[in-house]
Amino acid sequence: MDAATLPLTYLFAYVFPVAVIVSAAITLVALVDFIKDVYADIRIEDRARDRR
Amino acid sequence: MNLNALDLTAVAGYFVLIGILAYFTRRTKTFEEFSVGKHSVPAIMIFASLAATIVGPGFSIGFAGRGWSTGYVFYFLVLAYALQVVLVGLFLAPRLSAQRDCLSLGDVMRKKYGRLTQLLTGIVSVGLCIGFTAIMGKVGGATLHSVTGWPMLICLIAVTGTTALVTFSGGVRATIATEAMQFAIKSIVISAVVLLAVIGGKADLAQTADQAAELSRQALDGMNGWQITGVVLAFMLGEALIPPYANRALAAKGASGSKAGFVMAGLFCVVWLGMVTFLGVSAHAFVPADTAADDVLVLAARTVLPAGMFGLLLAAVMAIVMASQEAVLNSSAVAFVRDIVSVQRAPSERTTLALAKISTLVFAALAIYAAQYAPSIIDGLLLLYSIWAPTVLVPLVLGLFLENTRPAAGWLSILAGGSSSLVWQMALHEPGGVPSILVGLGAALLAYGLGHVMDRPVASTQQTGAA
Repeated sequence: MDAATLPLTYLFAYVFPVAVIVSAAITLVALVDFIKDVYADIRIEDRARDRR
Repeated sequence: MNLNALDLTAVAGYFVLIGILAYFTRRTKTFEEFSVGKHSVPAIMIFASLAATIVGPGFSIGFAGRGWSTGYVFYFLVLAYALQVVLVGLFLAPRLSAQRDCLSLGDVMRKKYGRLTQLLTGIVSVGLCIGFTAIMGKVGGATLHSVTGWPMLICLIAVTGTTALVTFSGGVRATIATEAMQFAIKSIVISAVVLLAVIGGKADLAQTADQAAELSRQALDGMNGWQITGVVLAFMLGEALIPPYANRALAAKGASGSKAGFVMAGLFCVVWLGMVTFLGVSAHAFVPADTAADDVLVLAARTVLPAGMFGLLLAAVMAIVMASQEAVLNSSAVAFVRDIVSVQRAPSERTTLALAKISTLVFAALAIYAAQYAPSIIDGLLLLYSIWAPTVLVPLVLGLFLENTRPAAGWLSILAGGSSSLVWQMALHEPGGVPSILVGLGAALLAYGLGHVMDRPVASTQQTGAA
């Protein structure tokens, strides 16, 4: 394992944290869309109920 | 431990964010909305929800502790877990997702094996989910206790109680939305801690690499072949398609969304676990040597983060604990109502939804009680894994692939697998070091074969979900 440990350590220390942050950023953008969809769904139900 | 104004603002801000998300996604009028969100959740949210649940206390706080004590060994063993998630995504989740008339894992089992197997699946699911909630609540409670000094019971109630309220109010869509937010918070904060440790010079990479090699060598010397096989099998199969993951597959918009969500979550595990393991090993340079393994992540982060930023870490730890708890609590309520209460005759829609919400609170209370007696994170998870895989996994996986399934194969497999695993572990204490999960899986497969030979195929009414 010794020979591979140093490059692996660099991967864990620099590349992986950046990849995790990018995943989080993409998720936040998707979350906004998801909430918009769910809230729109609720508003449609509300309007349908008011009409009744 | 004193908290300053910035710390308190970060923690308060976290709870306000969760409250806002719960408000906007709160409404659930039917049990279908509560359990699978109308089968309408997009792939990226399935990914975030799965990743948030997977990266709970065990795979963050517990795993940094494993890095601290065993170097990179556990990382390579637990890659089996990531592989499992990817394989589930490629082969099982799309088949599960195709069961559009099912609201729970027990529903799928009923279609394949009948009501008795659904009931047994429900009982195992509820017990397992309460166990998971208790272990995660214990971690969150202990962290809050170490920061505030409040009595442990109050801290357990604060953590698990808040989770229960979010889950109670909005069902699976509220759960998935808050999980995505929690996923983002913990991902950003823990990654920032790792980068700050490296860039700030606290973690020397060459020294960390040497330390990792030495710790890994010592850990490998202390493990025999059976132990390694046991750990790999437990992580490979122990959490495969447990109720919260199966519910995400059922909640996905379609088979392709489910597949993409699981595959991305598996790949995320590879990245996350490497990062957290590194933090655990590198902490030897700046955390006291007598630190308990489960305290390493919080202490390392506290050392690395600038003054006044400790509140962010607290928010991240709360996010780690609560995200996993929300998913399992929601699943326990769904399994209880759908697979236990409704197994003979379903109550009205209104009663079903009310029962699901009330049972969320009751199971949270049970988990708070059980948390006081829960073992350490990884030990607790390994115990639960040794129950899930030998009971439900064999009939579930075979049922998703086989036509003409037989009822006896389902219930015999669950009973034989579960009892043999428990007896092997609890009464015989794993003779010869042979892991109980292996014995349980073997018994489950044998019993499945026996039941398949001795029984007739499930009635066509059950295959279509009408039973």
